[in-house]
Amino acid sequence: MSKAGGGGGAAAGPTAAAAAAAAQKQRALLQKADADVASLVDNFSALINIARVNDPPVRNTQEAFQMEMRASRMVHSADSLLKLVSELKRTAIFSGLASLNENVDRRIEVLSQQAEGTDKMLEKIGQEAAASLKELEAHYYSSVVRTPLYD
Amino acid sequence: LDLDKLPIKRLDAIDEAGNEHYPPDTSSEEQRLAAIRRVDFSWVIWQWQGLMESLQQAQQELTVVLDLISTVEANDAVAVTTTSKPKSLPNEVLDDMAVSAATKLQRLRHLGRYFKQSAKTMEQQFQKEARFYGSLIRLQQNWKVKRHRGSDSFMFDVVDTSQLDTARMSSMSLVPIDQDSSGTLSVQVPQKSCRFLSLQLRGAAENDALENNKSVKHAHSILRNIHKSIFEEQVFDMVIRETFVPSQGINVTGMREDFLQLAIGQENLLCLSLEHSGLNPKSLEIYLLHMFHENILRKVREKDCNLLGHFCMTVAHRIFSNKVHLELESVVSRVPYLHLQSLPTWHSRTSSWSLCLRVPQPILAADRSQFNTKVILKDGQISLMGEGSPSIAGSLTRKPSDGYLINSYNCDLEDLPTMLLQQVASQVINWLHEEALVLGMNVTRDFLCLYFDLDQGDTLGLVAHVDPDDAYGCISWYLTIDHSKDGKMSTDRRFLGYLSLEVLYSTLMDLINLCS
Repeated sequence: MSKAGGGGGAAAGPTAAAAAAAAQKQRALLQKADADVASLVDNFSALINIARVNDPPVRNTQEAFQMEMRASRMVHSADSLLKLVSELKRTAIFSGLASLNENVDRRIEVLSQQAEGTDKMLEKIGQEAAASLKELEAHYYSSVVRTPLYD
Repeated sequence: LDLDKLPIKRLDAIDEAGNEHYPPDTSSEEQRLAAIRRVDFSWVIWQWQGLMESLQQAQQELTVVLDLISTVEANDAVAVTTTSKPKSLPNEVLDDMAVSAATKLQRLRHLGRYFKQSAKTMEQQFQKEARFYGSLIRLQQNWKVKRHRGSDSFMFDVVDTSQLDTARMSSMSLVPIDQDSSGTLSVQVPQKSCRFLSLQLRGAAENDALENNKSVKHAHSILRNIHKSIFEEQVFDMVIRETFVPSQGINVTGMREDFLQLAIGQENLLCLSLEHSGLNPKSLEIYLLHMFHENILRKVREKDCNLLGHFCMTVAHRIFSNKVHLELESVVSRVPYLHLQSLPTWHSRTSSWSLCLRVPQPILAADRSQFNTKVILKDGQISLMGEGSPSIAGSLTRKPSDGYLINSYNCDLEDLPTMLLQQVASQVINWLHEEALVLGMNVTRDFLCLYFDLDQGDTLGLVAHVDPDDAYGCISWYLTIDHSKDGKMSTDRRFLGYLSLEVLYSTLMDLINLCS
C-alpha cells in the first residue's frame, strides 16, 4: 500500500500522525545520508594518511590491515547510499499523489475530448457516407447500364 | 559416550534394621557445578595449547637469559651493556625505504583494483535500478502501481476492483511486474487469462499469436490488452446473466463456460464466445461492446432496459434488412424507370429505402416529376408508404404539404415485391391519367387501368400487369378493347410489352388522338 512520502507533497490529505511520521522519516534519511557521507570522507582521509611511506620502524602489516578495513568501510558506505537512493525512488512511486491525480484528471480531460472529437468525426463520416451513397445510387440508376436493350 | 543415571533415587544401602539409606539430595548449586564439570572444554584448551607452550618456552628462555645476565654481572667479570643495532649504511636505509615503498604501492594497487571492481558493480546495480524505476514511473502515469504484500516487488492493478464482481476477474486484475538482469521491466501476463470477445454468425474464428520485444510500449500494450480483456469478460458475464431472464424471441441453445449460442427467431443463430484471438471485430461486436461500455463503465443505464434483447433485435433486424434490400434491388433492376435510394436512419433497428418513379418531364403538366414509395423496416415489420394514388388495400391520409394522397400499409417479405409493383404501376397510371386530364380528355381510371371511351360504346383500356417473377421486366402493358355489340360483351387483349415511360406517353398521345 502506498505510504505518504517524504517532503512537501504530503501536506493535504494525510493525518497529523502521518505527517509527523513522514517528517521523522525524512530526518532519519537525511541523518543516514550525512552519516554515510561522513564515513566516506573519514575513511578516505584515514586511508590517505596510512598510505604515507614511513621512516623505519615500519608497520607495514598493521597498516595493510588498516587500509583494507578503511577501504571496505568506504565501499560499505557507498552501498548504503545507493540503497538509500533506491528507497527514495520506491517512496517516490507511492507519494506525490496530488500530482498523479492531477495528471489523471488531465488525461481524462484529454481523452474525453478525443472521444467527443471521435464521435463528431464518426457523425461526419456517416453523413459523408450517406451523401456519397445517394450520389452513387443516383448515378447508377440513371446510367447507361440500367437502360434496357429492348425498347 | 557417557550415560546419565536416571534421576531417580537409587538405594545406597539397607542396614540391619531394614531402613533404607538413600544418597543425600544434592543442592541445585552442586548439581550445576557437576554439570559444568561434565562439559568438555578440552577442544578449546587444545587450540590455545600451542600458544601456551610458546609463551612458556619464551618465559623459560627469558628466565635463562636473565639468570645468565645476573650471574655474569654478579661475577663481575664483565659488564653487560646494552647494545643496539648498528647504524645502517645509507644504501641500507634506502633499500629499506624502497622495500617499504614497494610494499605500500602494492597494497595501494590492490586497493585500487578493489575499488574499481566495487565501482563497476555499483554502477551496474545503479543502472539496473534506474532503468527499472524509470520505466515504472513512466508506466505509473497511466496505470495504478501497488506493492506486493510483504515482499519488495510491485504489481499493476488494472481495474478498479469495486467494478468487478467475480472472483475470476479479480485475479486477473493484479498483474505482477518482473525485471530481468539488466533491469528492464517486464509485465507478466498470467496464463490463459487474456481473452477477447468474439462474435460470429455461424462462422469460424481465426487464432493468431502476437510476439513482441520488450519495452515500455510493450508493457503498455500488454496492460491495455489485459484491461480490454477484463472488460470483455465482464460483458460476456453480463450477457449470460441477461439470458437468465427469458425474453421473447430469444432462446439459448448452447452454453459452456466461455461460449453462448442464441437462436433469434426461427432462423438466426448467434454465437458469442471468449477466445484468445481478439482480431477483426465486426461492427456488431463493436456495437455490443459500445452498448455495454455505456452501461458498465459510464453508468448511463436507463431503468428496465433489456440490453441483450435490444442487441439481439438489432442483429435480427440487420439480417432481415439485408434480405429486404435484396428483394428491393431485384425489383428495381427489372423496372428501368425506378430508382432505389437508401435512406440512413441512424437507428440500429430501423432501416428505410425510397423507390423513386421518375416520369419524363411533360410539357403541359409542370407538376411533380417523381413519385416516391417509401419502404420502412422497423425490427421485422415492413411498412410501405406510397404517394400519389389511391389503392385498394390500404388506408389513406392526406399529406397537407403537397396535396397528394399517401397510402400506407404493412406487408410481409413475400408480398413486398407485388405490393411495391402494384403501387408503382398505379402511380404510372395516375400520371398518365393526370396528363390526359390536362389535355382535356375524358378518361377514367381504375386501380391499374386507364379507360378511354370510344364511339359505338366500346372502351379502350391501357392495363398494367405486374409480375415480380418476370425475368424481363416486372411491369408490362396490355391494350384491351371491350366491344359491346348487340348487347354482347367481348374483350380483345393485345400485349404491348415492357414499355418505358416515354413510349407510354407517346402511346397515350396516340390513343388520345385516336379517341378524339
